[in-house]
Amino acid sequence: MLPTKTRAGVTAPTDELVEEVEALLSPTEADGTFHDTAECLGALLGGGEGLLSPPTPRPKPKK
Amino acid sequence: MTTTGRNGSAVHETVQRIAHTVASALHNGGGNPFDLSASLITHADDPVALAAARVLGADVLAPWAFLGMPVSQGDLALAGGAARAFPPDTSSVPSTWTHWGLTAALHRAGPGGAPAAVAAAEPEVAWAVDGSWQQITHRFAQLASLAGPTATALLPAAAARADDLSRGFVRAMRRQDWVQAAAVGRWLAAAGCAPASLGLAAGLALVAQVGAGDARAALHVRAAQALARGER
Repeated sequence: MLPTKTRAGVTAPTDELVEEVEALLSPTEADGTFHDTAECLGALLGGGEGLLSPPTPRPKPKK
Repeated sequence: MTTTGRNGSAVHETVQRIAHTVASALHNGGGNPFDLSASLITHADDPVALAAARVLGADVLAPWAFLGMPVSQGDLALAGGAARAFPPDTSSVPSTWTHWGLTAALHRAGPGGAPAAVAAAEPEVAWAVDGSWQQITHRFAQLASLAGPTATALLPAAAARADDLSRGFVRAMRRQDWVQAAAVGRWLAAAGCAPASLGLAAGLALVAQVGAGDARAALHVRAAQALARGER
């Protein structure tokens, strides 16, 4: 087993060290945007239906 | 994880080094003596080493818990010093549970092997019943050091939320949050409740390959694999 080094120089747990320990014990959830598969499927089908629908009737141009 | 400040960086680095040492011991088996404290070139009461041991919690003694490797007096002193120097923040579930886990492991691993009942009563686990699947995934991942061979109230709580944890495992894999994926996979392995369709073993093997840059992920993977093999 190879030895590993730690940084010395601190003689007692400081408030900063205590806060750091608590932060490492309670890491926050990573940020991100997540989509529900069912909702995505619904949006996809709805969007597809809209694209495939016939164009809005418009008056024929007069000759 | 936060790594701001000189002490924070030092703690983070030491956590990584200790986690790497423990993960290697779990991976290589019980052939060689394990003495974590002797592998750290520092004073036995170095606050940074104690802080790192407190962050890793019961995992500091994982080679004993998982493989039955003898515990050195130095490692017992390191774990005991960490528990004394950094008492739990009672307003924090992870702080309370991990401190309890470290203390209980110390009681069991210490001279005479006192039962866990000697330690304080287990903290409450009601949060595991009411939380959403995202919340309990995040919370159980924070408590992965308690996913070991010793039964606690967390094990049946994890088993009761197996589907939600499986969903969280998949989400963590897709987000490439390797530490969370390994930690949740460790809980699923400890509770023995992973659905066959999840492919937990293959997922953990993938995390071991692509997520090995974080030693805590590697440690959780090795622990999960040991639990899946039914060691101890």
